[in-house]
Amino acid sequence: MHDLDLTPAVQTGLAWYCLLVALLNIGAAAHWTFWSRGQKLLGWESVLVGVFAAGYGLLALGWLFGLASRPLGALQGIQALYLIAVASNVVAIVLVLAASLYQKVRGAVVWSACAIVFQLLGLLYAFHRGPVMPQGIRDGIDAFAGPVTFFFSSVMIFCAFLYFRAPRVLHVPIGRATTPAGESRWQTRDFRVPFGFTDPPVIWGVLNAVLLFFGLSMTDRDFRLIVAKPDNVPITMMLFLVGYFTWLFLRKGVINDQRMAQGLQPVEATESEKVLVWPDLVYTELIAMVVCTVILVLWSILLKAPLEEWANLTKTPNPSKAPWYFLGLQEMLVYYDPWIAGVLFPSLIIFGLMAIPYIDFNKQGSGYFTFAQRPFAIVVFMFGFIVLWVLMVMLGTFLRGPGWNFFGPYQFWDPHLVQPLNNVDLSDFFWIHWMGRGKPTSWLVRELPGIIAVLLYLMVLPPLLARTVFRSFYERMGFARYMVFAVLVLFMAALPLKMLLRWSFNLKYIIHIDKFFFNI
Amino acid sequence: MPAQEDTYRNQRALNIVFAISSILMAASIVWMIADDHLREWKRVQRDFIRLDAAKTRNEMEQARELASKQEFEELNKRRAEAEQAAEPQAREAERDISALKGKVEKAYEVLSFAKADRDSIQSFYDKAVEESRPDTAERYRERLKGSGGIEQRVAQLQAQWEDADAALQQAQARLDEANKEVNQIDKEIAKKQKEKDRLKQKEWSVWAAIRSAPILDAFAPATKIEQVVLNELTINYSFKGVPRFDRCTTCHKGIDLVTRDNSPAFDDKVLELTQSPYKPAFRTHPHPDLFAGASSPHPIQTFGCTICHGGQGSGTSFAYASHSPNTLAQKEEWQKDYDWQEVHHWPYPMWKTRFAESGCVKCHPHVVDLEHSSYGNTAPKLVRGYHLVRQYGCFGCHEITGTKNSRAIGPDLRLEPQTAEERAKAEKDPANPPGTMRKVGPSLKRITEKVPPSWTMRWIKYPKGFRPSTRMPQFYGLLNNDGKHPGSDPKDPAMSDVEILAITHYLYEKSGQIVAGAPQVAAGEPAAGSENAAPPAPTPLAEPPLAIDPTDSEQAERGHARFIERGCLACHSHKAVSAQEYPQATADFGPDLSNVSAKLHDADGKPNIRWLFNWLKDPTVYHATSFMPNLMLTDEEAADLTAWLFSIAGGWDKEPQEPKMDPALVDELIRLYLRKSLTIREADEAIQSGIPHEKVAQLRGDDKMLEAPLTQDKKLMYIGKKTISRLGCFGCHDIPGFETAKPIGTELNAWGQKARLDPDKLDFAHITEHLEQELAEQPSLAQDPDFALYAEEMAEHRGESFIWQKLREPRSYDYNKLKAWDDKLRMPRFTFDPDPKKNAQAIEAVMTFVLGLVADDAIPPYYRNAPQGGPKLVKIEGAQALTKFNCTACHMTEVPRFVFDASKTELPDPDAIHGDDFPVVKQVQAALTRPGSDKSGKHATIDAMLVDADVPLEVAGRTPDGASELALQLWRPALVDGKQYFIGDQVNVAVGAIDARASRPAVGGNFAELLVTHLMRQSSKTLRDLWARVPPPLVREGMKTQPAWLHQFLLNPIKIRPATVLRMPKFNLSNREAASLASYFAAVDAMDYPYEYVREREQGYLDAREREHPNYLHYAWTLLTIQSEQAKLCANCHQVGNVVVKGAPEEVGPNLRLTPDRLRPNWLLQWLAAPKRMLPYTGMPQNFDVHSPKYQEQFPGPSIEQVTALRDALMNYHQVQQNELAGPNVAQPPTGGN
Repeated sequence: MHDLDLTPAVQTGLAWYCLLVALLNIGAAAHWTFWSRGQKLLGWESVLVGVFAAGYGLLALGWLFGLASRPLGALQGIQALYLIAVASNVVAIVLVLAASLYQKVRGAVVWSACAIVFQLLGLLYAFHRGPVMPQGIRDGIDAFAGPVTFFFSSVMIFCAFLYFRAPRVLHVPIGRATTPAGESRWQTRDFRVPFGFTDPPVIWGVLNAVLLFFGLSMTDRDFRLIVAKPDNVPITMMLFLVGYFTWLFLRKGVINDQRMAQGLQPVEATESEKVLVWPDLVYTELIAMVVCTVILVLWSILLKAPLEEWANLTKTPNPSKAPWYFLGLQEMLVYYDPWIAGVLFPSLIIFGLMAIPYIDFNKQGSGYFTFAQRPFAIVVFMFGFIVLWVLMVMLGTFLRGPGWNFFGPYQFWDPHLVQPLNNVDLSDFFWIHWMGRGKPTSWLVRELPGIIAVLLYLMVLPPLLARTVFRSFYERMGFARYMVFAVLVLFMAALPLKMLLRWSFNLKYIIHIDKFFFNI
Repeated sequence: MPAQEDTYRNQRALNIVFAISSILMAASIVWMIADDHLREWKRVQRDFIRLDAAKTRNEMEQARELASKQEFEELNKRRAEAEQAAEPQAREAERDISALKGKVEKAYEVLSFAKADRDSIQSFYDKAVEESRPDTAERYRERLKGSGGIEQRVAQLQAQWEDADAALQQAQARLDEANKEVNQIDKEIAKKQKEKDRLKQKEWSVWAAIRSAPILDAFAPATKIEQVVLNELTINYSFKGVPRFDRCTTCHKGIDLVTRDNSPAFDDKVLELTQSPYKPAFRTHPHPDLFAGASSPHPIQTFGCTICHGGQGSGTSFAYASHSPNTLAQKEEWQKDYDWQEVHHWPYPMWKTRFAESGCVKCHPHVVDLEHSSYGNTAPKLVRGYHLVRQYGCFGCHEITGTKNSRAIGPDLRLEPQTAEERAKAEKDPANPPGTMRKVGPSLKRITEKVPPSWTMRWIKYPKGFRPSTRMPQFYGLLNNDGKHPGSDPKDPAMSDVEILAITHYLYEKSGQIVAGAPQVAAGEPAAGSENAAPPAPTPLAEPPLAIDPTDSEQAERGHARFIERGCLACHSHKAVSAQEYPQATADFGPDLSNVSAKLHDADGKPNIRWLFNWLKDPTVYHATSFMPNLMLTDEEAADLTAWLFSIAGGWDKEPQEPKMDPALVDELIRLYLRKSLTIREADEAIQSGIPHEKVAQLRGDDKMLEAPLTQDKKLMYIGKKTISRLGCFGCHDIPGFETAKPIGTELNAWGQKARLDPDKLDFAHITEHLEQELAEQPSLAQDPDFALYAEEMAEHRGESFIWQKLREPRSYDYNKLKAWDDKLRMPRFTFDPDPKKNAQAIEAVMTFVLGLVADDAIPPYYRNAPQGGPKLVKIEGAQALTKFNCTACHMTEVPRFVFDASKTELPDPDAIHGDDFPVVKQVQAALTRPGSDKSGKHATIDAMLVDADVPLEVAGRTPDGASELALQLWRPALVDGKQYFIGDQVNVAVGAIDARASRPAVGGNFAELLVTHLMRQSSKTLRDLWARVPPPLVREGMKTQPAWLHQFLLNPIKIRPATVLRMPKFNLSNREAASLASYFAAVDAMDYPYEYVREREQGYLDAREREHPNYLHYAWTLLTIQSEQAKLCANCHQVGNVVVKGAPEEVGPNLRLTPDRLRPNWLLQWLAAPKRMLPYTGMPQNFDVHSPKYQEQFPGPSIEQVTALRDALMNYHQVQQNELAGPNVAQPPTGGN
């Protein structure tokens, strides 16, 4: 039988993947060494750059003449071509490493080392000796994975990313001590976290780790089946793009925040407000257009448009998934009935987004990047967009399998797998568990606890919040604006709340009236 | 703010970025164009065009080499010679011509001028008349018509020109005559040149290369997608049938190209001309006479490809066409060479080559028409699968009802109705006639009279242990109940034992009741059908009237001979009849009888002589629907056979242990079943004390059997019944209490469709793990390419693999499953052949059949070879009946076929051997000649049998070792090398001239051969004489017999020829089956059925004859009954009237009383005129001489008139006989036909 995990084709693909990642790191090292410091290339270095470029030119020629599919001596053609690429990379690594050592650029040495590691890994794969993701790690991740852990870990990473966006001092409690005044107080010690997530070296390191993890994961057949499915390729790309833009925003925000803390203007304010239509606008657009065309042409050549199976009345595809951009909505359907998850929430999202300018009272942060000046707005929006939308898309795409069951990234999507789904309604809790009696036959009486709970949530909570947490908001917004704001926030919070209730109490419905199809 | 001169970005950097991106864009567009140009199908087509050109070049070169060059030279030389010979006359004629030409042209010129003048004057005249100027008009008239006028001149000049022209024509004719031969040769040269040019045109020209260049190929491409549009053969896209577009010919361009003699144009030899990796795509279909070819029954323009082969017809790349690799090696090769990959969302992938025949079933649902087609057996694997399914009784559990909206869309293998009610109901609905299949196992209704329970229970436990060749599958001791394998509990063997004991108990209890004539429905048990009332006691088994003693060696010896002669070996085999002695003794229609003595005994071990004797005398007493025919044995014969069968000792090969009873497990089993309708408490109480009476009424089904008070007997009956219904024993056996039970297995009607479209509906369970385990235990399996293939596909959940394993090891799907006892898989394990390799082949045959069951009713009727009536259906039904009752075991339906090279054979002169034949015989023989017999003689085909061979084995046309020449007697008229040969003609063919591959042995008649072999050993008779004593070949049977008589005969056969060793037994045929058989023979020979119109009995006909021959029938009768010492005609051998023929049986022919109903008049005429031209081996002589008429005193007239009269007398036999008996004075026979 064949090794389904690590076929020769996969190894070859991974070899080129590693080569590209190595190239990326060489580029990073070169950036750190040369360009970010305004260093110019000397004469002898140009020769090496020429050799490097010539190597890739040779590679392209070899590819054009079909050497890739022909055996060359003891090697397969593709391996020979790979060796040419590696040779070019080695030239580049030597150049960059020498320059960075000479100039004592520590970061560049690290990235060169990364490049070497990836290149070595790539060589192993090129000769079909590459490693696979250790089974222990796969099993561990699969065992750990689940909708709950996925949600909580993504929320935690999200929070951590925002919290540690810049170097900061942590006040860590180390024990209770009695003050001289006799009060018992937490004694803290300060730890300085020297890096922030928005620091380029840190995020570059994270990117390297992600790429390594991703590459190694591709050695797993089940992971590959899902991720490399032509439908899912754009989603994978989207994840990297979302990550990049989130980082970019935060990075610029942090820089501006630091500047403003020092009493300086934000970066944007120092720049001229007007630029020339030609060349600054039109030329750039032209280039962007050309690049987009190239990307689209290459994409259409390399990745065939995927088709699903035939529509069949008698056979529902399993899993039946919405288009990827709606997978967040579909995930909501797990927790709410269609009229809420499919009608009410999407409408509220649209209206809520439209309402933001009218609700927003914070005049700061306009025209430049900042985090510190609008933390609440940013956190709420990013929680809604990244956690509740993008990550739900990811969950729906990669981790929801047949039967809408949750599968770990390395698990086989077995259509026969049965997961226990025993859910109970709030009325069950109230009447059977707490009151110790059967449920009343009248739906109104039966669902009274749920109705009260919902009313409490929507009617009582806003004024309560206005007195407590959102006191300053209420004061600055006035009643009408505050109420719109509070209701929107409460609806947004309804989703994670229901998730929590489902996971912790197997709660299916708070209100369950079959008669009117009214279930919450 | 003032305008800035500084730009926001660095212009130099932007320029560089722009330059790089522009280069990238240019490169990507070049790549795009290249990608289009290098599309797979374009490359394939270019390769094919090159191959085609190479082929043409090759042909051209060959032509040039062989003939053209020399021929052209030769022609030119001949032309030069002819020219030289013609030169003197030609030169003279040419000289004349050139002189005359000037004259003619000059005369014509003058004439034209004159004509123009005339026309002009004419118009002036007309003008003058119109303008009323009579003088002027008169002047012009004069110039026109007057003497010496213009018209006269024109006439003169015309005559001059015509004379000159005639002279020229003459000269031209002289030249042509002189150059006649030269012109002829020129014509030939032009013709040859044209052919050469035609071939040249097919070459891959520079122009074509330019047209195929990238980009330019958009305008007038040399390569283009080709497709066959099939509007009627739709693809079922779930919602709608969508027309089929088969683009297969885009790459398979040579698929339907044939040479002039209809053989593949692109064969292996032609393919050697190309190095293209797509070489296999260019091959012509291997059977262009049957498929794809324009003159075949499945032309590609009408059928396309995918309707049979499957695959995605609209795909234009190797992968998207959904090719399916036949082996793992091929898969790897394809992946490497053609980037092959699975097309996941195309539900109709191409059939693997090994299942190619599965595609036939959707249009040929009856399957047997593929077996008996005019092209021979066109789908051997599928046909084998069909027969295996039939023989092993798969349909007993798995319904195969191939009808939809009363149209046949698949094979109909339904069981026949089991009760009278069901039959009546089925027959009321003409659209859904009752099923016709009989249960394949013996009836168990009277088992108590046959075998003892101790044997039965061991048999159930391990049938192969008693009879290795048995078709009874194994239910116990398998992977999920042997107590050893993962998925089986250690106490499973004990459970099995309990069940076996319970089944046996149930069977004997019920059977005992039936035999005793007692009511069969136990208290509380639900009644099946109308069986509440006690049925009449069955016919008891009679006591043998003769002493039967197996130890009596004399009696046994007689029995042994009878065993061979009475036809037992047509269906059975026996270890005492060795294969060396009788190589044909391989029949497996019935069970191997070697061991019967170990089986048929009573509880004390004494042989059950009474049962066997009765069974041999009349099987229907014991089993009403048995396939075993009534052999019409005498008491003595039956006694001898019984004695012999018991005299051969038998025993178990591998005897299983006697099952042991465990009362605790009985209770456990009952609890298991009761839990489905009772609570735990109730079930426990029921096991202790039975179900209380008041509760019983609320229960349904078998649970009522446990009504209190409970006994051990009731418990066993209950488990027995439950087990039988769980395992579906009634699918093969008649079991009392299960008359209305429904099949327990999955329906197979459309299983093939399900396996492809919905493999998710199949439960693959832990089969991959099981196969890995199997591989670990038996590493040699890795060497088996089929195992590797199926195991790999099993991981991908392919339906094909599922059924493969299901047939191989049905219970393995329970591997490591945690299942309750009664939830375990139930399909037993069938062993089709003890040899694993052959068993694997049989499994694939069954798979081929089952995968073909797709129940696709979207195919329009005229594509579907599923006739609803007419001769086609009759042939199909007849062929089914022939197989069902094993008729072909005794009767040859096709005599051996020899294909030989006539040019290497010295053929007799037909005129010399046909001198004695009547013209009417010659006519019929010529009409019977098979069309399409080869005229060139290279591949002469004759249907013939060996005559007068010394070695008995050679009867069936098998080539004997060492013989250099075969004496073959024709059984079908043939045109060999342009010479006409008749039936009965003998041709001696050198063994070396015979094409053994194209020749084929006889179809059927194995036992006839065996019997002839046997008889040859017994006597010194010739092969020809002996053939008359064994079951006759049924060739031209339809021409011979009247269907109405044949129908009667099949249902109740009478003895026709006294000489026969083995008379036709009485088969257990239904009326319908007999009718379809009778019609079958007529339909095969394109004769009338079901009734024959006998014109010879019409008064009008007889009156006409009477006018020519007064007292016609009387004299004819006289001819019939000639009995003088000098001349004896019919009465010499046949019984005519009351005159019994005395003589040895082999000298006596059939009683002529049978003739008028039995034989067709036309056949009879032929027969009387020339018996050997109808049946080569017959002993009947040709009594009438075409040249010198005899018997003139009895019936004056030419011989053919005598033959006709004889025929007419026979067709009116009864009337004539009556008249003759009434008195000689009655000259005029009473009118017939009223």
